[in-house]
Amino acid sequence: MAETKEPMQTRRILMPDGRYMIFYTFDSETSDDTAAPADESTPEKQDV
Amino acid sequence: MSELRYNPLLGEWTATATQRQDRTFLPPAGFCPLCPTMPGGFPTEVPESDYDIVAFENRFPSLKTHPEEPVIAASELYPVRLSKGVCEVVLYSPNHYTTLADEPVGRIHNLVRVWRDRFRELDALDFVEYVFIFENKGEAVGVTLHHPHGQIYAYPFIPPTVAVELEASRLHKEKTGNCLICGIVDEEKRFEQRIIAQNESFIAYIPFFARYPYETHITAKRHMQALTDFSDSEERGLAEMLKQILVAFDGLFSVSFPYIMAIHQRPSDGDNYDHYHFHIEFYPPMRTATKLKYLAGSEAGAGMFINDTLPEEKAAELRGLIK
Repeated sequence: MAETKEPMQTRRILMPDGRYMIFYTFDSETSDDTAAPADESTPEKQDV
Repeated sequence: MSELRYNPLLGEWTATATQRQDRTFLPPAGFCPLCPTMPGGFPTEVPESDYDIVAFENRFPSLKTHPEEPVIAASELYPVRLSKGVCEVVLYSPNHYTTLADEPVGRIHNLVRVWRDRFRELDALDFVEYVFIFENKGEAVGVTLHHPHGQIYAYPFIPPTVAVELEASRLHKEKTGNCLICGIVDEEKRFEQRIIAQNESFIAYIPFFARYPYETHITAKRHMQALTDFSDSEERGLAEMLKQILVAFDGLFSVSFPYIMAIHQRPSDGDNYDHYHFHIEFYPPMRTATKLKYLAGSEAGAGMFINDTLPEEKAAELRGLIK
């Protein structure tokens, strides 16, 4: 099973039409890895 | 209107979902319904922007928690049932212009946590028998909204592709006493040439039997059945592996590489699936920089895929792009 550390916070709202929406936010330390520079991952971004 | 109609020829269910004909189709830039609503801007589906990841019920669902009655009567030959289930959208970021490949490992790790959280909640619903987490990426696979997102379908039955894998895994376990997918991983490790990358917890390879040129499987090294079995370090290991593979995909042809990503884990019907094994399958439609793999006569009409390439050669290409 997953370990106990859980840096995730959730907030649930109901939309006017009755659907739920769950917002997830995380401790900044879990999200702050350096992204690969754009030219490393997708040299010329195009949708295919 | 939606309902499930049984196909007695194939022994499987088809969903009708006529409301989906009216869903938003490739809106112009600046009118993405999945972007956060901005002050003074048009109202989108997402009323705020202060989040990392957001999950919500699909506005145009194929399956509903409160489905309407079927519009057609069932017969002995043609069973009909309520299209009861859940369809969720998972937005990876408030940023319209990112992709999963562009996100840092930490944010992909957060997405894995969200997948686990959504799986845990949907898995517990009594009408759900299978939770399917997936992503369609790129217009080549039919994407209608470019905002980076995946989807989750919670089905009231075990879908056919997973059912075939489950049965093959059950029979293999019965015959040999071993897990079929552990066996596939061992075979790929022995042969080596189809391995793209591996870390402590996961291995990525183009399988011996790949149906698409760049079909890639990411499989847990430990024998486990679902996201809820992962340790935190295994969640991180999956995020690292996803990052490596997705960046390699984008490097192939200098485009944002289209794919279907399918997460295969145990069903949610309460039975024992110790013989099954968590893995992710990618089905990218591109076979060259300018050509797509179509499902044509043999694939669509007979169910036999023809792969115009050798998995060993395509794995070497991707391996060369691993950073």
